[in-house]
Amino acid sequence: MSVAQVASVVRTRRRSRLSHLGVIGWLALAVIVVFVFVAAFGEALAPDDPNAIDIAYANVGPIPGHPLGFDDLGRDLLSRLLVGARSSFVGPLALVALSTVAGTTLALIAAWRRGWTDATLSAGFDIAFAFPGILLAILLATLFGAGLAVAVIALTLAYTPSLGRLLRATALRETGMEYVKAFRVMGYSDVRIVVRHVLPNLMPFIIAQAIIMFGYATLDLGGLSFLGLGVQPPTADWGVMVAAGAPALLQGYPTQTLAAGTCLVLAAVAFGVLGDRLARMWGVE
Amino acid sequence: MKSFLGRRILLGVVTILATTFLVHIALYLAPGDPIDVLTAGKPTTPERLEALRAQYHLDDPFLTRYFSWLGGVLHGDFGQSAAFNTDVLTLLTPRVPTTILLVSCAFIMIMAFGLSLGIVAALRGGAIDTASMATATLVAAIPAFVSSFLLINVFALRLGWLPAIGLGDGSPLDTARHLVLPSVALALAAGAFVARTTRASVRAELGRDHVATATVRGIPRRLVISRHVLRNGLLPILSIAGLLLAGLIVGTAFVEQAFAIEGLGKLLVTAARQQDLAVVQAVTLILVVAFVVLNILVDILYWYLDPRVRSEAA
Amino acid sequence: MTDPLIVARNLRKEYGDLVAVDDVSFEVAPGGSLGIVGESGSGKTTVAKMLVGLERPTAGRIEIAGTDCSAPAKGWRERSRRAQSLQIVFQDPYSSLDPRQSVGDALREVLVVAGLGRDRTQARARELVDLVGMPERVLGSRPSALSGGQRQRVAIARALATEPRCVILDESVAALDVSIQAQILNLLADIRERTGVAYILVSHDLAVVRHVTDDVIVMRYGAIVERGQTGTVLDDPQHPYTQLLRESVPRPGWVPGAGATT
Repeated sequence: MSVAQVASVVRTRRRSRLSHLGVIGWLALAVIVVFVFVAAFGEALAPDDPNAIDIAYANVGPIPGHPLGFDDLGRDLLSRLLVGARSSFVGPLALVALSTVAGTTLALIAAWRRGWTDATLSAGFDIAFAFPGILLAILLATLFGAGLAVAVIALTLAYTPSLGRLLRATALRETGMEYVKAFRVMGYSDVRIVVRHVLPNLMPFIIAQAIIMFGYATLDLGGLSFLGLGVQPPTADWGVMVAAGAPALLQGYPTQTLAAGTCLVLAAVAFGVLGDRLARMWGVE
Repeated sequence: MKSFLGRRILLGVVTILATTFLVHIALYLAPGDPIDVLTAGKPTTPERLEALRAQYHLDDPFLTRYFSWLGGVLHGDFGQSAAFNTDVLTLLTPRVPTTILLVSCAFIMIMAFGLSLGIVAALRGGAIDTASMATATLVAAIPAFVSSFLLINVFALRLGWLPAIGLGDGSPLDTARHLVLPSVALALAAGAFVARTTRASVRAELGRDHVATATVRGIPRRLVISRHVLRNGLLPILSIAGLLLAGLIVGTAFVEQAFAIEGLGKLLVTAARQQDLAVVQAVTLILVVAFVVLNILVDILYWYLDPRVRSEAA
Repeated sequence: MTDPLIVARNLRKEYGDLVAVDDVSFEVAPGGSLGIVGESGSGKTTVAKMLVGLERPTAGRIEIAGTDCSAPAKGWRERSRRAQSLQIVFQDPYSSLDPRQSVGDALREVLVVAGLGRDRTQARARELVDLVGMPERVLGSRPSALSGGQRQRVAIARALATEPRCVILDESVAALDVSIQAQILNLLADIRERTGVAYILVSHDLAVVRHVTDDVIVMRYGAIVERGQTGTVLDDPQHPYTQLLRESVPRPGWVPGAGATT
């Protein structure tokens, strides 16, 4: 079988059904659906006011009506976890959307123009890749003050080149296909070829990568919030809750820190697994 | 060798210079007057303001300012901390060895456990393989700021085997006991990642034709594995070392914060929260330089171990 | 005699130190057919790419239908104007169609880009699949549902969609089984009779060139070593390289080890 034929078989497989996700893939999808639902309707689902402080209940364990107990300020933990889902996902959503659009655009430009444009962009990707995103976020937080928006912008600057680097290689392969040359000879404009033909063919790869990236984004932004450089207290947010629960943990009340941490890890694993499975299913690993 | 080394070092120097430039112009990117940024908005004595103006050469043209600042940095003059009210260098000196110690311990653990787990999983296969790789996949997704607290909760608080936070009284034995949990927390995710990479790479190597040929030729399995499989199979681990080091260096910020260890990472976070730019500039520079230098060392090691790269570079 | 449709004068293409095409000149008359023969690396495909504007000649001149086409088209207007004169069918039937587009969509898009009203594209697409001997229902098929030969028919239909005056066939049957090759070659001959389109056929396969073209040029290391009428050149090659090419073709009755000098 020639390379082209293999590629063709792979392309056929792209359309295969979701049943190829496997048990683990479905499980990951289910977890994500639940998280998204909670992020959307967290306030309505919360049994209690997540911000109602009652020191009398500080660090009290589970009691009827409060299955997870209370945090160090006597706020209902389950309610804070449910409401915190939104804040924990809004940042990653913005981050992934921004860096996917930017990374895809840059990669397509590099792959389409080739030559010195490609060389310049690739060198830029490589240099930026060497500068850890968290470090950049810390630097920007120092300058502009800590906050979710600053953290998202800093990480976008770090994620864009890494996606761009990854996508450029795939885009180069796609723009080298004979159908692209054929379209040029047939008089199609560059924009038409790239937007209507090359980009749609890259979508499976982009979507799988974006989902994988979402997992990393959840942890990175959660980590910045933990450091006090992302979402700010008293907003209910999983990263903030991990940090806020630390003193209580040292006194023997670990629920807040561990529950919030578990939510973050569960979300990260689910997005990672789903992205991985989709990439395998579409043959775009 | 010379051209390869030269190119690597040149790229490293460019990255470091780019970082110094970025870190320096950060001062002017911030909203407001640089002098307000440097004092973090706190009321300051006129003498202090004068000293800051001199340190940052605020009255000179831009490039002069940059090079004077860079010259100062090269002499260990990182300026004054606005938040701690002291020399930045005085803040750095006791913290650098602490962080180096932490990163070294974590690195040794990653290599020891990650490699052996990956090799065992690849060679034994079966249930051991499946179970260890499933665990590794999960562990690789646990960030240091979560695993730190899991470890504290189980091994320090519930079981009482090890101390929870801090670095102890300074005696070597006590320091070692205090270092165990933070090092494990820092090493856990990266170690799991190394285990998975090792396993995949050794697996791929086992399936190679020349391995089958060697086995058919009657060479003992032990020899085939040590000579062909492991030697080639472990090389790719070096290629992920760059990513690993970046993760370790950044990870100290989280682990030191969680374990209340006075190292560079915690200093960086504390300074960032108080918008203490001089300290953040200094620590960022140190971390990036460490990262770049370690990466160059890894590349040289790779070059030394892999004849294919050596012939390519020649 | 009418003016030539395509004129190539002293074409040269360098890639760094490598000279891929060296001083190549030829003409193709309207409705004519030219074969370009040579081994891989002889520069024949580079010539084809320069003709359609996918590569920029280092030196030399290309005229198509009386207009200068030496450099790749600037902007899509010029590109689309040139598309009405010259089209190309590539070698690889598996990558020359967008895998996400049905045959009908692919054909209709070419027609829309060429300025045909949307109301007329459907009828024209039907005509085109009929022209290349395929049933109308393939209009709804994706490339993945088609065989190599069928895809190549679609690629030919797409190239003919805008009624170009010349089509370049760049090793267009090389990737196909021998029996399918014959079908496609007969189809090409038939289309030429019906439409009067000119062909430039690039191939390493002498039998294919003989089947389709009137004139031939033989290329080696980027330069033309022999030219003339196809029958004459292939039956009675003057240049030692053409003789060698001819001898290296396996023929019926060939016995291993008996030598190929019969």
